[in-house]
Amino acid sequence: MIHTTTDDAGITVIRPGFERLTAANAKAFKDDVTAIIEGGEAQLVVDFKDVSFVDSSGLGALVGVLKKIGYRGDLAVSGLNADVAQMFKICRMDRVFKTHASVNDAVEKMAENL
Amino acid sequence: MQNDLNDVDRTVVSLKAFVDEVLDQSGLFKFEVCASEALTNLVKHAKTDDTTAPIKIELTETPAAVILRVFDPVGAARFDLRDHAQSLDDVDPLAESGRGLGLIMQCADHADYAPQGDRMCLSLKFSKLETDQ
Amino acid sequence: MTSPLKIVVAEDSELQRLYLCSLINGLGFEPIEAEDGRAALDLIQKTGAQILISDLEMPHLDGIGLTKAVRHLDLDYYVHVIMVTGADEVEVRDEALKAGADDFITKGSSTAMLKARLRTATRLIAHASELAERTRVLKETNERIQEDLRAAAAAQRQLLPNLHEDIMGFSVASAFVPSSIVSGDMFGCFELEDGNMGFYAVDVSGHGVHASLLSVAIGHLITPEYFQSQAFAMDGTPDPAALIDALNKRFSASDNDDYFTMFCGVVDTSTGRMSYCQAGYPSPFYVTDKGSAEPVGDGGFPVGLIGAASYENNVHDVDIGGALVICSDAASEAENTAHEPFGNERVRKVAATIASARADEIPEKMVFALSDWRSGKPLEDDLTIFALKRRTTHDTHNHR
Repeated sequence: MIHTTTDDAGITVIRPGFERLTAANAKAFKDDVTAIIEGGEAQLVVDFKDVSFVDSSGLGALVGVLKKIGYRGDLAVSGLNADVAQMFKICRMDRVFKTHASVNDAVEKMAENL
Repeated sequence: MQNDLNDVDRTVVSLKAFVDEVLDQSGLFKFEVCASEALTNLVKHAKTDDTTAPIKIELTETPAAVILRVFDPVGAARFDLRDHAQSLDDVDPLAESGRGLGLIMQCADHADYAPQGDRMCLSLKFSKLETDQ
Repeated sequence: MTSPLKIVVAEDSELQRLYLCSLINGLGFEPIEAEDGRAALDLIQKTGAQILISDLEMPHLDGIGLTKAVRHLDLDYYVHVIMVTGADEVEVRDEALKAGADDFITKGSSTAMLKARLRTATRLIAHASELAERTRVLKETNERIQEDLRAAAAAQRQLLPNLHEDIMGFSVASAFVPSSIVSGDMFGCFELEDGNMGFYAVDVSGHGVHASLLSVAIGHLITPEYFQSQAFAMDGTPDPAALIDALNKRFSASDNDDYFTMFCGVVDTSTGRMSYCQAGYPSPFYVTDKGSAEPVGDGGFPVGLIGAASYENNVHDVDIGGALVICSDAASEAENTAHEPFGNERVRKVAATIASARADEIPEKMVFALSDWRSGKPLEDDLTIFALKRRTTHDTHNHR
């Protein structure tokens, strides 16, 4: 269900493709992104622009992805709405993930660090 | 609600619609988080022989608060609180699970997990007033 | 603090209780679970916990009842009570405060809030234990000082002769009433060479430890040998002014402001002639055998103020049956409840009674008269009374 685009610099933008990233689809999301990482992509931006709600399972999947990337590359998130940002904050995930207002910001920042 | 993860989101959205007029923005967010975590937790952890039996949910409103009650299936073993009722500060930031109950505890104005009739019931209270969070 | 502070968590909802305990544990405290108020009350006493976090509604004993019960416990430390209330239970907080609650947290409030509340509690507890420790140290120090003072007073009393005896045909008697444990009064009376008797009385300015130290130093200094060597001229004539002059030079030399008043005399026991020097000490009363009492001496300069001060000798005869009554100024200055001083006239009247009494009755009479004057209230200054009376028959068998 996820949509991905990879630019010339090798930065892959992922859109979860669900309005709600929750226990119902978290595992599928993690598996899909894992497949991309295993396909060689390691500079990932997950864009939450079209996601209205994330639960603890969704956050867990994201942590799983981060661990998969490990030292090979980088993971950033962008476009968090107020509720999703609050969820990140309550779960102390704002300290784990680099968050950016928009996908463009995220890509730009990541390109700078390549 | 069906005892199925795929039915949680639909249920949460419809429960939220009931309290939409009653709780403020922050209250709605907390309610949604708690409902989602509570129902997911139940589907994942409550052991029952009959997964076709629907999950019983009660939503009541008092002058000061909204109370959400989620009932374990009859005969399901008590959920072990001791291992799960931990502060989100105590969860390893790189753990992929274990935040559900911590989230509920932080978001609900009052929470209780106690027998009610022939089964266990998680009851969560959401105050209509602003809390000092 | 070495071990984590204990916190009793009284909450009937197991879920809420476990969560709160987990939070508290995460903040570095030691939570103690109590499933209701009754259990909490019991645990507070058993564990010595100084912080209680309590829910309002609980079976058996609710939060308000528990708080009241805790306040009624006879503990020697304070229990900091934090109430957990719902956002919709604000009005109940007044009642909780009246019951003795110290602080509140709202259910579902953040960890930061709890942390802030517990930090306040910790600070108060640390402050209280610091105060308790300071008080303990002060008490200990004070007890040690009191003990030292008692020892000092005992040492000083050993120097003060309790005179009830006959010396070379004179009956001598004394009484000493210190205003504080230690005092600044000193006196002595000795047999000297060639049938002479020497006596002195000293009152150090101020009273308490400082005055006492000086008076003890004087007491140690003025031995009969010292007296004999200082209070006579080369030709053997009594010269008490020379003794006072020596003391004045010695004590003026020191840097401090200490000084004392003194009366010093030498009595030739065969003739009754008394040579004396007065240095600011109140004039003693000479009492004839007929009972008329007159002051002896006209003042003089205190000792230890100015090294250049000069002192003069005077003489007064003590006839057979005559007596001398020496009183420190605590007697004349003693005030009654109306702030009226006892005065020299009253001292004189008591002194005069020695004509028809034994010498050793006078000090006691004076003490009673003053106690009566002050309605039993202790004196504000050290009191020394010293009486000597020339016996009607010269009984040389009483030589020591």
